[in-house]
Amino acid sequence: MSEEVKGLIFDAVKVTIVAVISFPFASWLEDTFPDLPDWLLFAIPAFLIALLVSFIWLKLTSTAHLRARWHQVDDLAVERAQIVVKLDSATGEAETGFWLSVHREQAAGLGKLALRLAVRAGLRVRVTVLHTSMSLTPEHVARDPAEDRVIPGNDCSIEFVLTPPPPGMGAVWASTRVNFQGLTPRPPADWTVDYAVTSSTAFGRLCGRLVKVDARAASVIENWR
Amino acid sequence: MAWSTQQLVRDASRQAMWAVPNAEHRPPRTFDDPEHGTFVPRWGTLALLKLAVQGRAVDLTPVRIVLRDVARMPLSPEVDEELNETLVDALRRGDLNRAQAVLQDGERAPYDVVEVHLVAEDGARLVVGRYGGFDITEDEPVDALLDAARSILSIS
Repeated sequence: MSEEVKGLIFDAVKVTIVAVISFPFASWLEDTFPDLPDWLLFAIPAFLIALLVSFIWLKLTSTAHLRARWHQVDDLAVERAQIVVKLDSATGEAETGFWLSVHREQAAGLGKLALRLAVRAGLRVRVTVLHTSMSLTPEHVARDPAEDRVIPGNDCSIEFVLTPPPPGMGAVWASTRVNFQGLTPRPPADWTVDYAVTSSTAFGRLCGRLVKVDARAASVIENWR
Repeated sequence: MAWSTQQLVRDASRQAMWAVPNAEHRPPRTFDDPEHGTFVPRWGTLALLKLAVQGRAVDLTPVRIVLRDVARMPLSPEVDEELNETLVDALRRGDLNRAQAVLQDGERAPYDVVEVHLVAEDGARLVVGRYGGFDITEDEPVDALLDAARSILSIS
């Protein structure tokens, strides 16, 4: 079902709830304030209940946000919106590495609860450079390196295992220094970066639906020299 | 001393790891075989440090760590010797935090580990690189290396 259709159905449900709850209040208003014009008898309760329903709906459907950030190792001051990977055609090694970090951003209502539950159920953030033959290796893990918090994927991806407790707003939850490795020299190519949450448990995946990962960096340029 | 080159590979779900010969000295990544679900381990600096630490349990002692600087260039002999002394000492004590800290500190830091040199009890030497390629002087310590490598399968 498309997002537009879902939105339409949810709007219809909200209007129905408002209409159903408004009627008893309209009767009560008519008994209490008999001089009120008819249109106000319905408008006042409808407005107040619509406000209440919208507020509850907002709390129920609010998502928690995480943010993935890329920084070039030799220039940590700038968050990268585009990742340019220059590869040595003799060795396939990248000339510079990157710090990749996951930060906690705002979370409210059910999203906040879902985030906490998902983390307890083993929430992971996966960052994947799609379709490339390059690979990624974790080099250095911030926080305790004895814990297996960062797992390289079979494709060009890295998974961060988020462990409780959640850090403060905007703080780093997990991070690693990473290096790219190319496989075969090729003309420059632009690959999309995908950010997703995942979990090894069904409950974690369910709660993870209310957790979104935002990032400025949408693509990686593979550039052989 | 005759060296042979081999390659560690694992299955897609990180349940098994084994060694295959690499007489042609192929680059490790060419052993990736998605169709058959076999991949080389994605070992970077952290994994190689962990491997060196795990090696102690199977009598493989780290003796030298080959490093690259922030621009992926070799280090000057003086810096290399100084860093190696501290790093090897930390790894022999199993102090991963200290080993990581050593690599973050210095004019050309952060440093990357590209090879770990290990010595077996009987004097056999192993040189293990990123992505699980390794050179070895005798075949006996391959099982010990596999034991150490399997202990870090979850991050391979």
